[in-house]
Amino acid sequence: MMLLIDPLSATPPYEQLRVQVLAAVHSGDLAPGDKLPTVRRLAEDLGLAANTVARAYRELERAEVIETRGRNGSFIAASGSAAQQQVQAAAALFAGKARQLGVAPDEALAIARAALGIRS
Amino acid sequence: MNTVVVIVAALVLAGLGVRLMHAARTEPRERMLHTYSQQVGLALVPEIVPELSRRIYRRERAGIVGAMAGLVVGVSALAGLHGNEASWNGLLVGVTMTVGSTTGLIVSDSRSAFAPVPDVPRLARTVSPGLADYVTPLDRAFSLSLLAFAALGYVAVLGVIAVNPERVFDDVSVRSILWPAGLLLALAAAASLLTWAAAGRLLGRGQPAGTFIELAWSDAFRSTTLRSLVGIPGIIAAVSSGVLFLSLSQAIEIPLPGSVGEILVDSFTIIGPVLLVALIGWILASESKRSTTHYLRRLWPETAVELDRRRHARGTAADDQRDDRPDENSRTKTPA
Repeated sequence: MMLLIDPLSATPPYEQLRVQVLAAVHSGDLAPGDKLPTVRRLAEDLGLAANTVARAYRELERAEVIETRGRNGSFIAASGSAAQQQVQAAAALFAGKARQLGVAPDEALAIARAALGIRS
Repeated sequence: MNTVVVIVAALVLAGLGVRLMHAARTEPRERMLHTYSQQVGLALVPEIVPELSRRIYRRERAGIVGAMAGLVVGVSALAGLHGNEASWNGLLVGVTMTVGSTTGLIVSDSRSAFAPVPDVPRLARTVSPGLADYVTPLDRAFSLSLLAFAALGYVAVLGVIAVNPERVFDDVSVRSILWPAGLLLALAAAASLLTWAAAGRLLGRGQPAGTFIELAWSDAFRSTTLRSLVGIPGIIAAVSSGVLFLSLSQAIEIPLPGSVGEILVDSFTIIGPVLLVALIGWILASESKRSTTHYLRRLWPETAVELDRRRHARGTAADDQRDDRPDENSRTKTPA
């Protein structure tokens, strides 16, 4: 998924960034546990000042959309009820394990569907 | 030091100087751009051709200047360190040239992250690509395998020297054979750590781009640099083994037929060239379309499919079809 920043827009760049990350989370393009680029990397990519990206990240963190895990960077936070958050965390673990074992996404999804008892 | 090495080095230096001047001209730049475009499987969009041409030239210049510096350093080191006329002097200079050239590419690519960006919409990925998106697992594994093989080979040779079967090493200056290879092996181990760190630094650098095609080209350049970088420890390790076994096979007196000494000499004589052939084979394989377009399958799968279709339309071998299928774990679905 791509972020697009228009420097000539009336909306400040940090706000464009914040809104796009938020929209990506809502649409499911960014899932809980997804790692965001570092502030410096994103600032260089988008030709913005590091403070601008940091401000967008701070706003998103305040809204509990992302979480910063020390030196590991910023990640999309789990959202919703406690039950949903636990399932999201389990799903992130499942996805990580599937990637680690070299299981293709379609195959992993089929396994998850079967575990949920969904018959297609 | 062998005067032949100095003369050859001077000729190579002059050749690189000529190539540097040649690359500054418009026509060779265009040819380089077209060749590179075919190699990495990306289209040349007229709007970005001038910038691409400049960037290709900057990379070429950085690579050549780096190779020239490596050549000078290599020849100086040979003159200063041992001054003998070993047959593997050329290999050592080849290593320093490769390291110099790759260092030049890294510097050139790192600097492009700070290129001024005009006031136009800019895009960035939400997930930063990693080394696996740019370099094939085979390329990464082969380099480390060569390092492991060189280390094992060195230890095995130390063991054989300690045992000294049939006293074949009695008249051999073991130290003068072991230290150049040992130094190269240590350099290879250090290079594996340094290249890992350098790859991380380069991956952390931004990729300023206003369009998908600009970003795809940036990925192509990054992929080329990282592939060169990952190969360095393997190249140094292979040369280390080559130097070790070549020196040993030359140092041991021709033994009696059927003796342990003969078996050792034969083994040492064979292993060096076999390793070098494997190294050359690997370098050629890493220039294959599968390696040079790996980043497309990972980061631009739709473009990879399109490239695959075009290749088949041109009658490319059917075997490529399976190889060029986009990876299931690719990061984006956007065409370049």
